[in-house]
Amino acid sequence: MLKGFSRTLRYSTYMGTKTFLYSLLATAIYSVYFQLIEEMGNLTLILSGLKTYLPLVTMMLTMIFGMVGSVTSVPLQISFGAKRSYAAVSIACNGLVTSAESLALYIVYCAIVSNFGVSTDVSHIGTIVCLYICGIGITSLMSVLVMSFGRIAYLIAVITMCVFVGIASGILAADKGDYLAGILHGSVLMAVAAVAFIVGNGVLIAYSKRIVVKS
Amino acid sequence: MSTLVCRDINKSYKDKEVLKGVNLTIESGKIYGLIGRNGVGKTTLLSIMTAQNPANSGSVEFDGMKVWENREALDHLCFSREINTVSTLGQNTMKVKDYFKIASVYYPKWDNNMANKLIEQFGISPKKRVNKMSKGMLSMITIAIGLASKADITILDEPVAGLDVVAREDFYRMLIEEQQATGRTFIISTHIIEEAANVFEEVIFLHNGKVLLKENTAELLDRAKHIAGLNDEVDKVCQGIKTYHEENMGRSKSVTVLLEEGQKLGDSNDVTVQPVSLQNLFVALCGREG
Repeated sequence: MLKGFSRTLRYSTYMGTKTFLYSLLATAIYSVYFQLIEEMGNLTLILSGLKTYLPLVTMMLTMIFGMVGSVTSVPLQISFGAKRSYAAVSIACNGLVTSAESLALYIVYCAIVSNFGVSTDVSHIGTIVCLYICGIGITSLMSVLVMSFGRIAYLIAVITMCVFVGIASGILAADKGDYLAGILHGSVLMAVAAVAFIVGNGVLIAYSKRIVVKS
Repeated sequence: MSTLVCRDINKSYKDKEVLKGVNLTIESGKIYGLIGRNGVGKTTLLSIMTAQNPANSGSVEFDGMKVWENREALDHLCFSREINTVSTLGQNTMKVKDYFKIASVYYPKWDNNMANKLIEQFGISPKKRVNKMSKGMLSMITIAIGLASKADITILDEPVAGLDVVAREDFYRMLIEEQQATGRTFIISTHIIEEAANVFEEVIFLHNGKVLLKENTAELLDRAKHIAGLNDEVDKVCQGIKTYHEENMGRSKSVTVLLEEGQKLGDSNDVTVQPVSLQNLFVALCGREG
C-alpha cells in the first residue's frame, strides 16, 4: 500500500514541480518589480491593486493548474497500471503538493514585499497554513467522493469548496479589520474556485467515464 | 510460469452486450495475436484483463491473484493502448520524455535506456509533445512504452496502426528479439493479419462476443484448407465436414474447411486443395457468412 501511495506522491510531485518553478519565477519577478516601483514612489492605484491581488491570483492559478493537471491525469495513471483508488488519491496528493507550492509562493512574496496588504506576521502565516490544511482535507474528500459517487458529490464538493474559500479569504481580510475587502476578496475567490472546480471535476468525470466506456 | 486467466467475462455497454462469457488462458512465453472485427470487443477485453475497465461479471486472475485493484498483480501487466489526442489537456500536452518519466513511476521494471533507444530508432525527439505527433508516431510511442515496460505480460492494442511497412517490419523484428531475449508474453491486437501471422505463436479469434478459437498458428493453418472445383466434387470431398465462406461460380464453387482432429477430406481428383492464409481463414470464419 505504501508503495502505491509513494508512486502517486512521486507522480504528483513530479508533475507539480514545473508549475511551481514557473509560478515561483513569476512571483519573484513581480514582487521585486512592485517593491522597486513603491520605493521609487510611483505606485499608482492600479499597480497597488495588482500588488495586492496578483499574489493571490498566482496562488490560485498554481492550485488550479495543479488540480486540473491532476484530474486529467487519472486515466493516464490507470492506463499505466495504477490502482483506481490510488489514482483518485493522487488528486489529493496533488492538492497537497500544489497547496504547499502556493503557500511557498506566498511566503516568497512576503519575504520580498514587506507590506503585502494583509499582515505577514507569524501568526497570520499560521492561519494560512491551517486553512490550507483544511483545503487539502476537503480536496481529498472531494476526490474520493467524486470517484465514488459522481455528479452529486461533485456538486456538493463545488459548494463546499466555494464556501471554504469564501470564509478563508474573508478571515484573511477581516484580520485587517477591513470587512468590505473581505467580502470582495471572498466573492472573487469563490467565483474563481467555483470555475476551477467545475472545470477540474467535470474533466475528471468525463475522463473517468471515457476510459471505462472506450472500446 | 505466469498465467493470466479470464473466467466467464461478460460486459455490456447499456443495451449492447459486447462480451458474452469469455474464457481465456494466456500462458507465459508466447506471442498471441488477438484478431476480431471492428467493435467485437477486443479493446474491451484487453482493458478488462488489465483492470482498466470493470467487467459486469467474471474474473481475471494473474497467477491466482485477482487483477482488479491489485497492485501486486498489476505490476506484472502492461496494456499499451492507442493514445487519443482529441483532448488538449493532461497527457496530450506532455513531452515524450515526461511521458516516459511517468511510465517509469508505474512500471517497476521500466527500462529507460530501452525506451530512449527505441524512440531514437524511430526518429522521435524526446522533447516532442504528444499532441503534435502523427498517428504513426503515436503508435511508435505506444510500442516503446510496451516494450520498455518489461512487464511479464505486455498487451499492445493495434500497435502498427499508422505505421509504414518499414516501421512495421522493424516492430515485428524488435518484438521477436525482445520475446526471445526475455521470454515475456505479448498479446497483440491487430487488423493487419497477414504480415503478422508469422509472428504470432498463437492466435485468438474473437467473434460475436466470444472466443471463437485460440490455437497454435501453425497447427491452425495446417487444419485449414481451401477447396475449389465442380459443385458435386466439392460436396463429395467435404461430406460431413463443416464448410465456410462458400463462393459459387456457375457450376463451380470454392469453400474453406477447418478439419477437426482425425477428420480427412474425401477422395477426388477433380478438386484443388490449397492452404489458407490466416487472413482468409479469419474472413471465412468471422466474415458475414461465417
